Amino acid sequence: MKKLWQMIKGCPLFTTIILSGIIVSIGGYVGAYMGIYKWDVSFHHPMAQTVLMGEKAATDTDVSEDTKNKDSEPTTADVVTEEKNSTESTEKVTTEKPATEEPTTEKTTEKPKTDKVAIDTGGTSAPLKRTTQYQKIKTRKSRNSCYRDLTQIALETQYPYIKVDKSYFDDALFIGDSRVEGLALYSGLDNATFAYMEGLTTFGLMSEKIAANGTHTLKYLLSKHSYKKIYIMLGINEAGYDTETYASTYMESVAQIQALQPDAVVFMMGCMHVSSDYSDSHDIVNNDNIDDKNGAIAAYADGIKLFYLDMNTAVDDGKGGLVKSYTWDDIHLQAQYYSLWEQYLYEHGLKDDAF
Amino acid sequence: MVFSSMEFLFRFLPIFLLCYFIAKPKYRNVVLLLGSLVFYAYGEPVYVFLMMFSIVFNYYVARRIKRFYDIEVYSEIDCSFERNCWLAAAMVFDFGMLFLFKYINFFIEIINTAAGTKIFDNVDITLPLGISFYTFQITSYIFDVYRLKYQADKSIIKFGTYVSMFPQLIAGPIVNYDEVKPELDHRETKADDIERGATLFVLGLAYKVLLANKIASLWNDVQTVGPYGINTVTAWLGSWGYSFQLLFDFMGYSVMAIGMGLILGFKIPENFVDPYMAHSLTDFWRRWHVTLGRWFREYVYIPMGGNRKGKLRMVLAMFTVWMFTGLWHGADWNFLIWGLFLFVFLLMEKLFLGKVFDKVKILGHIYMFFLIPVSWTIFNISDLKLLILYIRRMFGMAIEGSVTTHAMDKLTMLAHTYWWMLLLCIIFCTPWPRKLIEKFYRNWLCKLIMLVLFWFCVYQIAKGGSNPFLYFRF
Repeated sequence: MKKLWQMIKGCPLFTTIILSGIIVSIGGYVGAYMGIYKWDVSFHHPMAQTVLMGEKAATDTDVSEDTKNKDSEPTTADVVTEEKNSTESTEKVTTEKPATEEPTTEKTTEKPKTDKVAIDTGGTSAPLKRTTQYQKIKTRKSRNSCYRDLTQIALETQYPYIKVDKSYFDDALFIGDSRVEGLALYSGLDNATFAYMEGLTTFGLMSEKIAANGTHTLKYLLSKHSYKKIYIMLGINEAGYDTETYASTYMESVAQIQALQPDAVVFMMGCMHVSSDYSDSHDIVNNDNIDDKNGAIAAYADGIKLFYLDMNTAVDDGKGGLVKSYTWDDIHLQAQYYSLWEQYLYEHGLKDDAF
Repeated sequence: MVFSSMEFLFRFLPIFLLCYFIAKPKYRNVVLLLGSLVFYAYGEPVYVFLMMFSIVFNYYVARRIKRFYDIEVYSEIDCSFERNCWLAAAMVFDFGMLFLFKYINFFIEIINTAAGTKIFDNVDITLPLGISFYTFQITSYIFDVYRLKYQADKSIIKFGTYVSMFPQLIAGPIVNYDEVKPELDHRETKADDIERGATLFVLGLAYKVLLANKIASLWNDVQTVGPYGINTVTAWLGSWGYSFQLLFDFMGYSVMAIGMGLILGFKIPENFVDPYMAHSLTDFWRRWHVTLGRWFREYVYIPMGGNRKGKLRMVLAMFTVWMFTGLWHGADWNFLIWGLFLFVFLLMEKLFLGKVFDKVKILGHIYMFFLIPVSWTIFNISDLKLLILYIRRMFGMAIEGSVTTHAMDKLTMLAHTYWWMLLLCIIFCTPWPRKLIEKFYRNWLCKLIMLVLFWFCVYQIAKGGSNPFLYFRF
């Protein structure tokens, strides 16, 4: 015994590390037993992690059960609930906003009641529908509760798009995450205005300083300058949030943008896919999730002041993924391929009377 | 199970250490062997049997070789044929397994390319964890027994412990048997060793978690843009970022292994001696992955004649060593190119450049400042087309179709994000931080710092584990 004490006295750092580790781990188990922390089902999960990250248990279940009863929203994933703790705004949104499928809110853009009214097709024969059309697909099972089983894919808003040149984008504004950063830096569209930030989400869209090299918020930019075309691409950083939360916050932001720029046409760009390999091996960041989220926002397009565009057609590998050779990290285009996106934009111009 | 994971730090290690220290000293080898097998089986539930078989087989071969030496001594019958047969059997098995698991698909690819058609299909095979490392340890043992450097051990427990000892099992250092033999026979647990071991372990953990894992995204950011969109400075910056990542990743692992070795009572040899302080590539390879270089010198270079049989033999020996060094790191063309690259520069240094750098050290440091990132770039990019483009960009050659109008903006952004991280990496490349820590590890302030550092690392790991979105900002 005395020898042991001598030993311990000789190595205080080692002893403290071991003891503190044991205390924290036991704290995790006791906390979980008392209902403070969540139990992790996997054996390999040491409870130390639970303590360090403060993974609370009881409140989570309450919330998700509540929402389950209110409307048919799918149970929020662990990830989502965790993130909710960090960003309070998210939680509010989930409870306030109803499901996206029936957009009844006044806040969002006036959804045309004339759903199936044909518009001028500019000479072509088939009448075009203003609202977003969906392509039915064979159901793809959801692999995480942050998105739903995928049964359809949104198509871009029907319109007799015209080919435009670079000057068309003189009064255009592009808003988004690192993908839009890529478009800003590596496409030829240097006459347009860009507002982007790495890791930008719809939750921070209006509050983060994303404009003018990170010095101003989007609100500021939109109140100082006027734009005719506003393009938005988001979605990849929100993959861990459930689709309804994403779509409702997204549409709130769109409504705010439209309020500040009533004359502008807003183009919601469907989130760019990730490569098929990456998609197959990730349960959250995958193309089914992206398509689900794209479909949810596309539902709001009216074909008048709010369009849904999908540049994925320009970089598709035939399996609904980003072409592997266009990307190094499976998520971003490499510099030289942003021209494909640019080209897509050139081919999707609106006629003057749209503005 | 990597050392920098919650499972290892909070499950395996404490439980193992408890068993280890409770056990009487004479049973500690058994505990260590069993613990190591559990550790390995956690990552390789199937291939653990391959390793176990390999241990038993090689143990037997070594015993046979010893036996035939003994017969020779007692009865004066020449048994060299039998000995050679057993040696060959062991080599065929050990390197055969390594070849099968690591190189078979590369080999098939070469044959198919050479023939111009698809003669063989690729084999669906995964590389067993650490096979490159333990194969080299086992073969060094067999060679040494064959060369009568030491005798084959009677105890399979000791031999098995030597091969599978978990601190060095999956990422080195490659230990020689005679280095740990005294400790396998008898080792004392000294409080001071444990304390020093714990300090080194925390330092290694910090290298891995706080330096390597953090700087890793610099290279990723640069590659994501690709060679078409970056300028020359960005290309160098990215390569330096990768060089740091590789150093702290690998060195961190080795330092953790050495630290754990000390806690268990072993003196595992140093593997990294401030490699980026080298003033020539020759010097660099005496400092980088020391135990691998030692293996190739001892079992390939010197047996091939080394530098004692004329210049031509030396060049041939060097060529072989460096091509195999390249291949050892991975089965792909870029590793061969990398090996060739090292060979060319090492040869030039041996012939004339080295004298210059030895005399004017500052010139050598400048040369290494550029050579290190180029070497690791070749090492990293396995897509040859991309590699050529990247190297072209590094050396300011024009690339058709590049989009570099805003390349400067990207560089500014990267510099803004990473400058302090790079600064930290540079500081920790020098020998002083570790020297300072090893000098003052008995000091209470140092202990406190290490404790805080440990929990900070754990916090970072936990953050990465529970929040997959940490590295997830697009």
